[in-house]
Amino acid sequence: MKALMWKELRENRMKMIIGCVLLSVIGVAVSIAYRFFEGGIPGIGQIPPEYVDLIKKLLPDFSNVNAYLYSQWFSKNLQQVGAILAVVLLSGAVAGERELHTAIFLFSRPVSRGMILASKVIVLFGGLVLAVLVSTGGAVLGSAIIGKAPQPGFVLTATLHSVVALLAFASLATLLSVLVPDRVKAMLFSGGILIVLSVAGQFKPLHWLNPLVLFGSPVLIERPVPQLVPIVVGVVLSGCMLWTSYRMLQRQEF
Amino acid sequence: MNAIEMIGVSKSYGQVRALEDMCLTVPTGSIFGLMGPNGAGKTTSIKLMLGLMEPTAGSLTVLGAVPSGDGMALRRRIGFVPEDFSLYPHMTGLEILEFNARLYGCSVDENVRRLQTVFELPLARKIATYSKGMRKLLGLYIALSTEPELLILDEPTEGLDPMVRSHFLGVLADETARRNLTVFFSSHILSEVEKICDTVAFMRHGHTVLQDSVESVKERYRVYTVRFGAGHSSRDVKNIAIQRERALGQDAWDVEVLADQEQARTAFADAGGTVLNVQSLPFDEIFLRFVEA
Repeated sequence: MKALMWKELRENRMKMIIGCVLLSVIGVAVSIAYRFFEGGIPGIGQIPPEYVDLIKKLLPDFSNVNAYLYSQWFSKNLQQVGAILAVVLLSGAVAGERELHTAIFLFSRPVSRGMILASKVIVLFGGLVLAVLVSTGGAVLGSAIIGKAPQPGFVLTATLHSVVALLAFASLATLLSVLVPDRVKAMLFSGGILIVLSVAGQFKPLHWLNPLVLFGSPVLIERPVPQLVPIVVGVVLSGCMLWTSYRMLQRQEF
Repeated sequence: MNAIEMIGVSKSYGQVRALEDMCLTVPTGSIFGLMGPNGAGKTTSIKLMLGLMEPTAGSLTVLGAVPSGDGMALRRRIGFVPEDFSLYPHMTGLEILEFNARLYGCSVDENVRRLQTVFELPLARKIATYSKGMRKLLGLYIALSTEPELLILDEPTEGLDPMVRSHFLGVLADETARRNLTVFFSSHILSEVEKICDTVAFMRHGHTVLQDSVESVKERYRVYTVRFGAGHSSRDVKNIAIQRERALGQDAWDVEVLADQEQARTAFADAGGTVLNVQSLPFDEIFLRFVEA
């Protein structure tokens, strides 16, 4: 198992490092940019007064740094870049072995398919979680630099929701990586499914389909306690998709 | 004891039958060559032996174990060089040997160091910089490095130039002689099978049409020119299977059979025939007779 994990780490280290650095830079930049929004939206005075109230209703209250970080970091940049990183990292997990013709070598060694999949999932999920933690740390650091540190309880809760949601996205990419023998196709399918569900979920009757609800609702800003429903749904969904990936991999012939 | 036993094994991919009632026996300690044209079912047979897929019907045992049930434990005793495979290009030769050894639960030991004097590969270099021939040699190196009981090679010399092929086969023959190793070798390069294998099986359309020792095949397959008496023909020949026949004139035939010469002569005599001439055929011609039949 250790040997397999070492191999995965070596193979994916550049993707993980780039993802981690990119997310961290965005995290720091977004939090430092709060300086420009703290006093209100720049240039709002030039907007006709009849629209100002409407805009203020639509936008979060940026006088609260938690609200700013929730809207600009957790439910925007981390959500989008994190989802891309999850899909990019996991889509190649099994599909990459097939595409590069290394699958026959790996699967003919005396290791079980469960161990092979588990080593990939542990390392790649670990890399994703590390990227979320480091970049969110960067966002908190950026806020501290400008003297506007967010509430720790809020940061921890929102991070927990982000991790659960991104691991669910990563589990979907893992499943497609097992089903589709091509890295790019697996990536496009998993990204496509997430986009279609997110768009469909914008319509009220289909709101339950929206995978972005796994990131938690804005209630977190005022009440930073874990929201059970998205967490349980995220964990159960991830578990089901990983179990299905394992079963499908067991049944596949190489 | 036999290293591999396949009895009535079939394997289907949907509507396509890759193997049909395949029977094969590989004696322990032999160098066994499985020969057949592309699509005959050689690679499917090998994947079944490794437990990478399950047979649709029939019984298969490898080193006394059932691959579909004991696949993991069985693969620990097998060295395998696949036909179309790549090794991780970001690893060096030594790293892939270490990685493989750890998957087999052993370490890079004296055996690996001894093999390096045989293979002489640049193990410090990344695999991405290796030529095709070097990769194939590394594949054999990896397979031998874990001291397997059975070595399975799926068309290992395909696409190699004659020098590398000769080196590959030389190393294989030497290493096989050094230890009690059974080698299962699939190929459609007849000259190398004839050179290094002691037993062969010919495959066609998913099943074996012949299994025998190379020497026996070459010794027993003969073209007999036979003159039949009035009212007799090759149809009257009993007890020997005729592979091919060709009329030379009104009463003379060239008849090709795989049988002991004494048995063939008796069969022709019993059918009212007189053997005028006996010819042998080169090994590749014999192979073609079976797979084209």
